[in-house]
Amino acid sequence: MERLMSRLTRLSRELEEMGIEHDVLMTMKSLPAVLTEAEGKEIRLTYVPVETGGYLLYMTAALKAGEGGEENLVKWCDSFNERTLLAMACYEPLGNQVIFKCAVPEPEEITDGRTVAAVMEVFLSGVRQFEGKDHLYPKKEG
Amino acid sequence: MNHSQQELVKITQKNRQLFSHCIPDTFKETLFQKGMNAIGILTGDHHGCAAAVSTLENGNIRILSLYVEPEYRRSGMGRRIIRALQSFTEKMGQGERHLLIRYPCPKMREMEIFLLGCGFQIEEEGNQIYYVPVRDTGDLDLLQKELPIPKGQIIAMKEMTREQKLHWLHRFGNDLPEAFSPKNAGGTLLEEHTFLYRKDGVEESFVICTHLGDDSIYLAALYSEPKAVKALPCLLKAVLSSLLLKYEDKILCFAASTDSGKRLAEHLCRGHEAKIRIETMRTAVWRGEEQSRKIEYDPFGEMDLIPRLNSLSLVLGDMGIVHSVRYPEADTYPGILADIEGKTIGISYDLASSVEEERFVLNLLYVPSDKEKEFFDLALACQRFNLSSPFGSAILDKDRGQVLLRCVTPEFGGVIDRETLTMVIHLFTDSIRQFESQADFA
Repeated sequence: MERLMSRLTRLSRELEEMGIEHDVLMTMKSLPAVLTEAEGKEIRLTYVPVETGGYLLYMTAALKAGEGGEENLVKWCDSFNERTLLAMACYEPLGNQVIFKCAVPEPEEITDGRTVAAVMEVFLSGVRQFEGKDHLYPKKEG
Repeated sequence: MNHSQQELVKITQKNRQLFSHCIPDTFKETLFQKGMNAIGILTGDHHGCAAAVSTLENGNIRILSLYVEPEYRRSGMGRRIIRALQSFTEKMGQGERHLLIRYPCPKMREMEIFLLGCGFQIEEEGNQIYYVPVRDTGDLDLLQKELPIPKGQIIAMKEMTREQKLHWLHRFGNDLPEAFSPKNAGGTLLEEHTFLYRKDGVEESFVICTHLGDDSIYLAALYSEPKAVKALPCLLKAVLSSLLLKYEDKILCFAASTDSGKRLAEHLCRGHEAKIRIETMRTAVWRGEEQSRKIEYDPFGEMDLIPRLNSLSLVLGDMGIVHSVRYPEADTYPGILADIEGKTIGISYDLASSVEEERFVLNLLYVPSDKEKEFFDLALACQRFNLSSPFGSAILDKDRGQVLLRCVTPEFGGVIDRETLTMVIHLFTDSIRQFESQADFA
């Protein structure tokens, strides 16, 4: 846990350097995480230890979808996943939301601190692409 | 499935809906125009499971498309359709029974191998390649046969200059199985029995053999550009003729690197089963001594790709992972094929251009077993996987009706280090297991 916390502290410092406001979230139920807001959306970053050593930097955001566009949203996610390399989108029907995910493996000893900046940019670009997709939903009468 | 209830039918306006998933969109509009012919196979419950679209051209049949649903593959459906097309030309009273094929690369090569396996042989006339049924048993013995030599030359390695050999090794060396390299084989490359096919000054395909042991000689058809597959019978004949004469006491082992290569080898070596053993052998990498390979195709405009592939190959080699490197060539996507836990995983590079500075990202790709599900089930399996899996994504390839599992890892500066690659492979193989168990593919 100590190593995980020191990694999270490092992540927090990097976000600070990037001028991104955030909170560190500690709960008994799940792994400690960093919560931040970008483009008005809540993003959760956490590190998951990997069996073989190292960590998976795991970034997620759940974006609420409008009503009635399920089929189009599934298609949009498929198309997004085909053309996007580092992030992935998936429609979650129960919560009527699109989940954006990004996972980057990091070795035990980080030698390069550019991961977060690079991945965050791709991630946010995905979130931006999703916004303003009004055409995915049925047109309202009147 | 009960194959006895399957029925070969002509596709008409009435039943076209039953075959709509078996016919490419390109031909759907023109399917019933004059000269077009479509036949298919219906299952007992009236489900179209295979179809071919063809057209008649001067008494020859040109196959425009041939599709068999994945779950019906390797059950003789394709052969049944081909036989039907063949008997159609006979009924037409044509003296010659020619089949022509028009397929986009790389499917063309698959189709050619399939037709060779169906008992067709290749004949060349002018610029046209025909597939003619084998007419008598004499045709079955490659060594007894008069083979048309395709345009171009077949030359033995011993006749090549040192520069030509180096160029040749650099062009094809990446496909040489590690066991065949002079360093690792413990034997010598038999230059007098190693032949290649060259057209317009460019080596297109080759057969190589290496002396491995006291009682056997290994030979392998290691590489062929899709357009040069027709030269393989001639190459193999040249090699077999020279080897069988000189090494009567040795068993020849034809090591094919893929199952389709093995089927082709079996077809080509018919009649010599007692003397030639056909095996499949996973290929590994041959690293050329020189890094200055000639680049003919570079999708990224990025010359760094080759040392990068070489470095990645070294990391994989250190990890004891059997793999082969495919360097940039015309029509070939560069990358590495690795054998991990019995699964063939494709590893390639892309450039992530949506970030501030362009950087290489490493793709691991895997196509789960082709025990296919319905399209809807596949889509559902992908959605379920993408929601639950922390690593990798499942992408549904609608054109091919198959799933592609992919994971992407950015590289910063140099090539990925061993520790991170171990982690990526571990996570990705976990993801594959998860997908296969969720979708019940295994």
